[in-house]
Amino acid sequence: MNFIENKQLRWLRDNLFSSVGSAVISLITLYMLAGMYRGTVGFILSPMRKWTAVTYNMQLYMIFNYAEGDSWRAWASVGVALFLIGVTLGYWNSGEKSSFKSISNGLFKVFTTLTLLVLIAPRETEVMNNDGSRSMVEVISSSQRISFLIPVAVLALFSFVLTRMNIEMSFNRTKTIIFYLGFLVLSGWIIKVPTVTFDASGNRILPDVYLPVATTTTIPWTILYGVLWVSLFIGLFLQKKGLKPLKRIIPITWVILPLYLFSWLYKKPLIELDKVFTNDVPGVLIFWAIGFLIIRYITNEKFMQYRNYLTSGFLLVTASILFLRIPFLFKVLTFSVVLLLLVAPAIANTDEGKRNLLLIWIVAIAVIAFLLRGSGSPTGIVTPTGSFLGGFSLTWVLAIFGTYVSFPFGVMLALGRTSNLPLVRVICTGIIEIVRSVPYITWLFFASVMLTVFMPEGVEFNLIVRVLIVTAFFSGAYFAENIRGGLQSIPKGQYEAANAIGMNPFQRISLIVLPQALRAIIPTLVSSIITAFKDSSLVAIIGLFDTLRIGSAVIPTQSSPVNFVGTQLDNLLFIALFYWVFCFIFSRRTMKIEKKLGLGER
Amino acid sequence: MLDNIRNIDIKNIWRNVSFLKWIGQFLFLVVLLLGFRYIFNTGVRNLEATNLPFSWGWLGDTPGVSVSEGFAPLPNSGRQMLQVGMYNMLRITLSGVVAATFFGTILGIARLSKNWIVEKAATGLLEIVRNVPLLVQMLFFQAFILSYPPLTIEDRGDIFIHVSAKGIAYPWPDPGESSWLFVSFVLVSFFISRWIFKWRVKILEREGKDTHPFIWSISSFTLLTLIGWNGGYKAMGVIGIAATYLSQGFELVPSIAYQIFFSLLAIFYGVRFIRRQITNSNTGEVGGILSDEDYFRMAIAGLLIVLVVILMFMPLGNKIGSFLEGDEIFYKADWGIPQYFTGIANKFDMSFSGAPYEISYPKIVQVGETKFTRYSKEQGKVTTVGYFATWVGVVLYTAIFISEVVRSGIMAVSKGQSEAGLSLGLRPRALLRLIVLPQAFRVMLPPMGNQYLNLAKNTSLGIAVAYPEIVAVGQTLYNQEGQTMPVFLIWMMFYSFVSLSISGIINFYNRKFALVER
Repeated sequence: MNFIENKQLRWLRDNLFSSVGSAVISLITLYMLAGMYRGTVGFILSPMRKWTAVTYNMQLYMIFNYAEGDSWRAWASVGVALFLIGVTLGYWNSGEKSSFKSISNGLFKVFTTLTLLVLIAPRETEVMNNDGSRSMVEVISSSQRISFLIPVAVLALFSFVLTRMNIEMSFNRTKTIIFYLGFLVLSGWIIKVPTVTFDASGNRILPDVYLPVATTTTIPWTILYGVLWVSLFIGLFLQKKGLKPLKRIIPITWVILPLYLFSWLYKKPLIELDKVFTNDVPGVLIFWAIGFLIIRYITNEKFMQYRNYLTSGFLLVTASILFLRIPFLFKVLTFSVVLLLLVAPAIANTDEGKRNLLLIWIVAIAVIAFLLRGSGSPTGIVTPTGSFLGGFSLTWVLAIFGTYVSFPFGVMLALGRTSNLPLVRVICTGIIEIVRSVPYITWLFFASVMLTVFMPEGVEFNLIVRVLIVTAFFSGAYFAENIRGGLQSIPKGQYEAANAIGMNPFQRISLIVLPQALRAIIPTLVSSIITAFKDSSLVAIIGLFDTLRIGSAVIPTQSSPVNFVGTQLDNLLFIALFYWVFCFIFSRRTMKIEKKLGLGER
Repeated sequence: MLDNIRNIDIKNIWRNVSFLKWIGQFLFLVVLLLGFRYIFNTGVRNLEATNLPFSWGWLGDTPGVSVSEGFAPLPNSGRQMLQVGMYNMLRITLSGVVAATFFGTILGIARLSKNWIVEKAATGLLEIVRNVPLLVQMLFFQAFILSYPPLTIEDRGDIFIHVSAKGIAYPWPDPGESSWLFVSFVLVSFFISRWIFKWRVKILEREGKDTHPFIWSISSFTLLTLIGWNGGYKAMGVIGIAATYLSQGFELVPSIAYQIFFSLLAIFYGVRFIRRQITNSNTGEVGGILSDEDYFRMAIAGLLIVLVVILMFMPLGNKIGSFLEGDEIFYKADWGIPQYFTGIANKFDMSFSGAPYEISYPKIVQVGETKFTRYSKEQGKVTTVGYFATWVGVVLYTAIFISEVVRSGIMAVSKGQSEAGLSLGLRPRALLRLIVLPQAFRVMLPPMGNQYLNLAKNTSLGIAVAYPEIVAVGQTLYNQEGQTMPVFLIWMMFYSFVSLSISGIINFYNRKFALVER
């Protein structure tokens, strides 16, 4: 086989036709793949599909019955998130370059594949008539195919020419990716979607009007795309300035951002000013003062003697006021004093450390009070169902807040399970095993019908909160098993070294053990988070209006003003795409980070 | 040094770490129990306020609702309805485990294939299925079947394979009265041909000439099965005769004998466990010192012995008992052993005749005098929409994760092993079968067990596609009777039982195949 000198041909021989059996298998697989592709395209373009069910109900999908006048709040939330993404990408930009050659090679691959896909797309598809018989319907006419084919083929040729040019140029990788996203935004102006419109007397105008995607949203994607660019440059600027504290501030902002979006921007809280002045302002001032005193005198020897008593005293106070009817703010702040007392001796032993800790304390207290005021106030959004969450927003809230509540719980369970105190270990193991042995859906039923039975009189929680309580246990138990793996991977010498320099158990665990354990299990933690995101779809069964329930039960029963009865397949396909995009991007990003950190390699 | 720490200093007991630890744990337990009591009391009070106090009485009542699938379409008691749900769940779990392992292994090997397109296709399927929630997939399969046209009055009559919005109907072998005899005959012939295979291999290894062990065993198996089909199964009537005698024999044993037997069994195993603990600590590195943990384990074991003995001789109240074993509780029960053997004797009667299985073809029949039609329940086999959606969803989803397990298991086998196999002159297929897979199997087993557990739990999503498994049935029951708490307890017990069984089986194999370390 000496005549095969060509690189591409040799690749084909090595990878597809290395032997007779391999060639047969390749051909069969190719045939099957082509058949599946043609079937899928036929399925999507078939006249039996009503894609207006998805496009017309996009608002329902995103925010369910959120007040329409306030829908800018949803877009603003997306904008704020995008801003932070941009700043993060800019600040943590590794300066990785992609060369002109690799970009043009990538473009060539994409456009040749597209050309091929357009070429083998099916001409007609099978539809089922009302009487059960089947007939063929044309879905792509020859003229349509040619009008698709010409631009794609021209682009493929163009990129082929690019690959042959010897241009020594390279671009920032992040900028290139965001530049590519620009094409997606641009396509929003070209791709038109059917929109259902009505005339003055309320009759539907047929056929449906086709409008560009970009013009159908409250805040256009084009503006959000601009926000992304601006924030990217801000991030790059900050990186150049070399502001060190940002390294810690940005991750913390990521943790706080969903809380802010939920409690202030999306919720639209009705703030009662008298409560702010009687509750929040005095509370913040008192605890600022307490924190100041602690940080000021923590290095004082006399004070040090009583530190342990003070810590346990505050812990007792926290426990005893837990069930009293005082503002939640005071309970949280009392507990944070306990944390401060535990952490302070390790940090506030120099003047600079004291200054930093005081600054952190002041900001933290203010942020806590701010967020709690927002989440504790009644919402200004009036909806028929009483809950302003639904659709995508509910899915996100369940996924993010589910992780928030379950992660600390999981850490606690894992520490309990690996503790050397037999009773604690047995109880934690029991909780983990019992929770894990039963499927999530039964716990959701527990939340929806049984949890209220165990609540004391007068205490009532919204179903979403009850679901979050159950999720704390369920996901927490799974997190605990992952974290336990991480804890067991830490060599005993680390514990002994921490003991040797006189750390107390809290410091040993929070400063030595947990940081190492968590770093070792980032990949498994992320896959747990993805699982939690997917599992949030189960709340559809107990009657919460999340994305899945809207698509599988609400829209397919709509008969007025537009008839969408029997569009389950269309809606489910769209929902599958929604989940797929997020899960796929998330898992791919993590794989990259994993490789970068060199995790999982020995 | 150790002794100094361990001996409790009476003077300064509050400075003794070991003492403080126990006090702390004790306080923790007390707080936990107090909290639990508070929650429990609130629950009882709230339940009393709703006029639906906790009870098991509904287990005996007729629920008056039908179950669309299972051995009892109209259950005569809550207990039977739950049993139908459990049966449906186990049915889908067992067939699902087999199918998911099969497809998962193929996919896993395809992902390691040197063939580029096969590898990419398998990876693509993995990425698609893994990143979409199982519930969405199941609802999609349900909607897919439901998009087929419904059955009409014109469709009446015999069919071969038929798909409609009512499900999928296809031919199925219908067991005759001698099917049990035949199945046991096939099992016996399987073991005989396995023995023949080993015997031929032994000759091959001793004399070094090709003895065709595979052909020998296959042909003997085929021959024996053919003999069995044409009346040879009557030989298995021996089992029936033996079971009759056993049944009569066990009827003579008084029930007190069972109680004593099981109590002694518990005492035997418990005492053996404690003694092992002591001997282990004597011979181990610790040199005879028992840690807190050992004492704790021994205390638990002792407690369990006492509990089992008490359970054997004390009444527990009739309500739970009637659910478990007829109307009588352990202290009188004969554990149904004679009846069990009688049942076996009835299935293995030597006088049975006729073909063990007959192919029956499905049929579409009219419902009464109405214009509605359905698949006949007596003929052929019908896969309902719920079963199809649950089964396909669960199997596909689990197969994808199993393929990952298989892939990483095979990759965990060091490359030197395959190279050594190749240098011995093994063909690639033999290399995979004899060298790589047996070693990969050892790595794969624990994560595989996890996937089986997930599969068992994921079947509970059948409730969304109207498949009456245990969760769906339980929900129907508590909507009917208002007893949410007992239903939840039954769910918990059932799923724990299934999980423990699966992990028990996996652990058994894990120990069996564990590497014997030097």
